[in-house]
Amino acid sequence: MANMAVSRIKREFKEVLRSEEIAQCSIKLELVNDCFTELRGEIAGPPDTPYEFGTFLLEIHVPETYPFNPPKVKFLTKIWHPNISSVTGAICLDILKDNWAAAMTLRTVLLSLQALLASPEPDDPQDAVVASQYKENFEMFCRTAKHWTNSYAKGPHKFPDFDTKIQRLKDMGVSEFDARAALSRHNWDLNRATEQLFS
Amino acid sequence: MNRTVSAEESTISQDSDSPPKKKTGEIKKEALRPVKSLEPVAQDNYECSICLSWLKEPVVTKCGHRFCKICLEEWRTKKNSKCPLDDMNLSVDDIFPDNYTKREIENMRRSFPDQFEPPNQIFECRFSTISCDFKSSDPQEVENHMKNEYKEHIDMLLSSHLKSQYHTWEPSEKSPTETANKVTLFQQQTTRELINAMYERIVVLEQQNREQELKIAKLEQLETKRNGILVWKFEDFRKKFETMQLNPQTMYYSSECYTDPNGYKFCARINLSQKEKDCLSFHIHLMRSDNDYHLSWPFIGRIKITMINKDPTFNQTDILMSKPEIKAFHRPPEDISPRGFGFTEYAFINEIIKRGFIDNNDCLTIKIEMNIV
Repeated sequence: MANMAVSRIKREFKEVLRSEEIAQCSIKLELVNDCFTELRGEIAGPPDTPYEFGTFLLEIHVPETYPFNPPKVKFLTKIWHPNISSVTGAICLDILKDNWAAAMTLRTVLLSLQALLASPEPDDPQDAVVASQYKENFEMFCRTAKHWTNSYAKGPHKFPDFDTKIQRLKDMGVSEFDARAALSRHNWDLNRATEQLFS
Repeated sequence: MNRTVSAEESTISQDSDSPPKKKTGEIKKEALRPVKSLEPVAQDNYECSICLSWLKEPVVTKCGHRFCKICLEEWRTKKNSKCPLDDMNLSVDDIFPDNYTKREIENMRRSFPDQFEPPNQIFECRFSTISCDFKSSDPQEVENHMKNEYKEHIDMLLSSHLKSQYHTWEPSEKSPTETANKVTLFQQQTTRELINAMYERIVVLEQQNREQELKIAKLEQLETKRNGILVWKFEDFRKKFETMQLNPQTMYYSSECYTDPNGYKFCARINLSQKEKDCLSFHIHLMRSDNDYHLSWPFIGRIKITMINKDPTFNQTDILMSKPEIKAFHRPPEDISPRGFGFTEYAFINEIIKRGFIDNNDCLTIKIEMNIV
């Protein structure tokens, strides 16, 4: 791995460890391997959003050309968000693509992702279904996002009606994630979700 | 649609360097600078925001941001031509070497070498002092090496101990790394200071030397002028003669001379006689000097005027005695006494030329000797 990338990550690592956000348990960063190329990030769901009280894990891959090219980041924790793929965790964020600048750091990336959770951009979606739900049925979006936060990110909000519907599909032999995804995509309409799953 | 976007402000934006929101047009990336600097601390001003280290060969952009030369070059070739901090478009002409900052950092490096780390930190095995040469940039690897190689290390320790038994009288070798670096750095610094001090001293001494040389030259000149003998070389004789013919008022004065180091000051004057237009007039004038107050007035003495011939046997000599009643020997009321003493008709021009008083360089030489009696 290129020398500059390693020395930068080492410095940034220290920076994150000392930052105020760590003290507030708002972001976290840890090494996965010894050569500073794979890291694990963690961000807290911002308050007053459906993601509040959730903890979201991120996979961070640092390329050899860092910091001249952005780190590759995706969500490991399943999340319901217009700019994040509910299936793969891929993120649509400009600074991780064309608007990356060498002066940005892993800390600012994590903070940017936190900001992205607080203010989604449905007009530039990663997950078109989530985005249209966000625009057309915001309340449904919020409930769904809270439910996902509860299911995957240790969020506190439980939705028994959602759980019942998921259980119905599981009884039909569908995996829990597939059931949740299909129901979420159809505004928790059991019939349409079933139709999609079995057609 | 009433989204609670403002909610984020309660936590995230309380930090002044909140992250940019997605695609909000003007992203203020400068706000993304780390708040706290790292260790070893590169001061914010002197830190490159690309490599996060001390600026190396700093350049400054027209938008006022500093980066290492190579960092910015690499950014511009690999990515785009925009400033990594504020997205301003940068052409080659917008980037200048920042030698001021470079010097500042050099100064700091000299003053606080501890704050700088070597570009790539290398960790050594703790047994490096007894010839284990294991090195790595990863401290963990060194730890592993120490764990795994303890047998070898004990052997090294033993052989080193045995060696040292015979050499205990030798000064212990300094650890070749840190202390050596510090010592050489210190030595370099003191050597540089010493050189600077010596250079300054040399400049001062050279200056003094030059001043003294000038003083000596002046004194030598004075010495020859303070023995009562004035040798006047009246050069360009024919040319001066023509000038005097054209303008009969023209007068030529010799340089000044003293009868002795603390004596009377005098000079000589040549002009054309008022009566005989082809005859030279020659007069001695006393001059005002700092000695006048302690001298006795009027001047009493003997004046010998010698016109030098090409053949010394034909030198023309006139000896005059001062006369106290003549104003010319009284204390000069002006810089040059208005009254002179000598010959209104000293010598005819054609005689001077014919009899060989003008040497090959068209120069008439007259020697005046003043002796106090």
